[in-house]
Amino acid sequence: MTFRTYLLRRLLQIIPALLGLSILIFVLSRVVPGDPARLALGPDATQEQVEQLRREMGLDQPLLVQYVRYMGGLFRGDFGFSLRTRRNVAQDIKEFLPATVELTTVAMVFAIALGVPLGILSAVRKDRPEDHLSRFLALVGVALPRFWLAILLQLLFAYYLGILPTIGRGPAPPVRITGFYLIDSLLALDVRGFVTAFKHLILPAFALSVGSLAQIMRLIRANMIEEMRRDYVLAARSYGLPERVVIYKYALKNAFSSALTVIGLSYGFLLGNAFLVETVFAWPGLAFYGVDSLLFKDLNAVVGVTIVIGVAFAVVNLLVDLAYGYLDPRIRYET
Amino acid sequence: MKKGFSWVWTPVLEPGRIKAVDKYTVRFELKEAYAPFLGSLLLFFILDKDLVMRNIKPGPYGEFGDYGSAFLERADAGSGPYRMERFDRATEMVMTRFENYWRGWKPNQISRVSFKTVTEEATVKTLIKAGQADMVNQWLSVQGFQELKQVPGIVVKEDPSVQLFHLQMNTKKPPLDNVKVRQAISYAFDYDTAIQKIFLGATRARGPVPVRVPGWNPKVPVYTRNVATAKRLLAESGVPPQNLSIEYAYVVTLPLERQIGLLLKSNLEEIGFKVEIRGEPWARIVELATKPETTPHITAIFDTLKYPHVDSHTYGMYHPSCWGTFRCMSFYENPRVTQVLEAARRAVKPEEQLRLYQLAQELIVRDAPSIYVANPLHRIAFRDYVKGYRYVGLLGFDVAFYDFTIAR
Repeated sequence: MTFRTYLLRRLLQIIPALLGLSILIFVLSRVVPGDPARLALGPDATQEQVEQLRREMGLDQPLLVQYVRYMGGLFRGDFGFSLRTRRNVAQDIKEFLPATVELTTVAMVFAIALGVPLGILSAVRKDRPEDHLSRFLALVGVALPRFWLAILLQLLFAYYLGILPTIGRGPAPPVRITGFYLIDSLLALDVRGFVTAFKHLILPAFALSVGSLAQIMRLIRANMIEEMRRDYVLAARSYGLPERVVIYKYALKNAFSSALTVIGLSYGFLLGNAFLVETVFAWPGLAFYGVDSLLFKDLNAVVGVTIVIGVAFAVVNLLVDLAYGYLDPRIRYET
Repeated sequence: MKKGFSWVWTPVLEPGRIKAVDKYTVRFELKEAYAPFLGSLLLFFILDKDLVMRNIKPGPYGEFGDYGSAFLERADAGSGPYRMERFDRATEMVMTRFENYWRGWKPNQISRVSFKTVTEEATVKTLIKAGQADMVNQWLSVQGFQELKQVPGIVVKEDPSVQLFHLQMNTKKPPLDNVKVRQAISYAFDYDTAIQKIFLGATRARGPVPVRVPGWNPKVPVYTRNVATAKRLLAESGVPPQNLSIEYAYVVTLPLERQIGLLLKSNLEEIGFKVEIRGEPWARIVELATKPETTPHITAIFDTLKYPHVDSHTYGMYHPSCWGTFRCMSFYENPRVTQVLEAARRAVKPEEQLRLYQLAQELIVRDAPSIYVANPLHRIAFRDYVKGYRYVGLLGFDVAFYDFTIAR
């Protein structure tokens, strides 16, 4: 099987998954209790007003008709009208998605940049104080609720020490190109803006990353211990290769492949679950928008956000699968 | 458009009967006398027609397109002291002062206001404590305000509000369709504990109309906790003990309402009730309220005055025309009260209106369609250098920045 065929097959597999997701979320969002028209118009609206809005939104139609209409619109880039923001959901997603993607990406960078070295350190210094400390930190990282950690970080670094900002993304770059403040400020050659945007990212990204960081660290540790016992490591050492080369070039490459799955899954998971951290840091992201929409029963927004996160999840996992091929030639081009 | 507060005027006002008499006069021709009309005028927002018309988009209102609603989502077209500088949805709204405002400007008045959207209470408290926010809104918990009171440099201003917190009893659902059962419950509830321990200070509600509202009747009967009377009324009701089983619903995101529910449960179990407490999302409460069959026996509701008139908390809550909304979960029906309320709305003379609205209050309270618990305190917190705050008490977001000065 060629790489192209493999890629095509994987892409085709995504379609039924997303279709299933769209049906599921469409039906679920409509069967949960609460009348969206009543909520949108406020509790004082008359029944006539509510009925009028229900007609305008097509909520008086059978579920199947509603779904077909919605999907028809979706293929034309029309995500439907948001009851809360009173504009097309596509516009809302365009506005809020970059904030969450930026936050999640930086969180994953933190998780990998800290989790991998700590995992290696823990493995090569197995059962020594460094190992115990790393394992303890990993345990704490997995156990700590993110929102609680977020509040603690905020109190320490923003309130008591006053060295990092408390909320938000900071001032918007002069020109919005991608919606990612880090990238847009660089494109505008605004170094100060870049530093400010990064400072705003540190606390929320770290709070978001801790769970994944701990998982990656523990996985790398376990895999590295396993790999370091293998014959090829013994052979490499007996050839007199420096320990650094043995660890980073040979053992880590093999140990890392299974951590990739966790990284891929974590990225998708964080995209949709950054809600609590976004709430604490008043981060105007898609997860916050999605959950808020759910509470408000903003049907089109709920479905739109879920589909976008579903697509992101699928794409990230596809990329992870492709990366496997690079790391482990034995599974390249196989389904 | 039939949106927003249009329901207030729908009964009496038709679009073709509003005329601009001259540059500063508008004549409204009502179908009939309508007591709350003058008070309700503050719900009108005056816009610059030319500006709006230049920015209309295609919509269902003929030559008026969308009536500028898309434009007004992101811009202002009003005549107040501030203009909208920036609006980032879900993040921040920035307003700057309009130099040519007709009332003029004095030194130390606020020239720029930044509204930041922060929903997490812990973050809001951190912001004001750290001096990164000058003022926070009124939606913090009671405990949150208590905490801020202890911080030097922060003022927590408390005012009796024009809000009613009550436990609406569904008068169409047995055993609460029996007036003596409802009265028994009203006598069994421990109002003092609710106000002192749960609200941490509030005005005891005396009937459906908040006590600060002109037209409130000081002579309405007030139920106070009296277990013996409650038991006697329950015995007189003739409802067998096995039927004294009720459910209490509250908004699941409001811990205070849950605490009230626990208090109610403990009070009612003393007189033989079984009470099931159920937290529901607000969306669900609104849906349950549409029919008597789906409406819980008792529901906790905060209800703020909708317009500055006693009509809001009498006709608006106890006339059958409001059934199906959260304001009328008692589905109260008393032909005499209905008649009095309709007469009150149609009365032309203010003293006649007042007499009728006050009579209605007395009649309603006797029928005990709600446990009238409290007129909660309105609390707001700001740094001590912010001067000039004055509680107005309508519509929730009523902070008049023009009145403020900064005195550092």
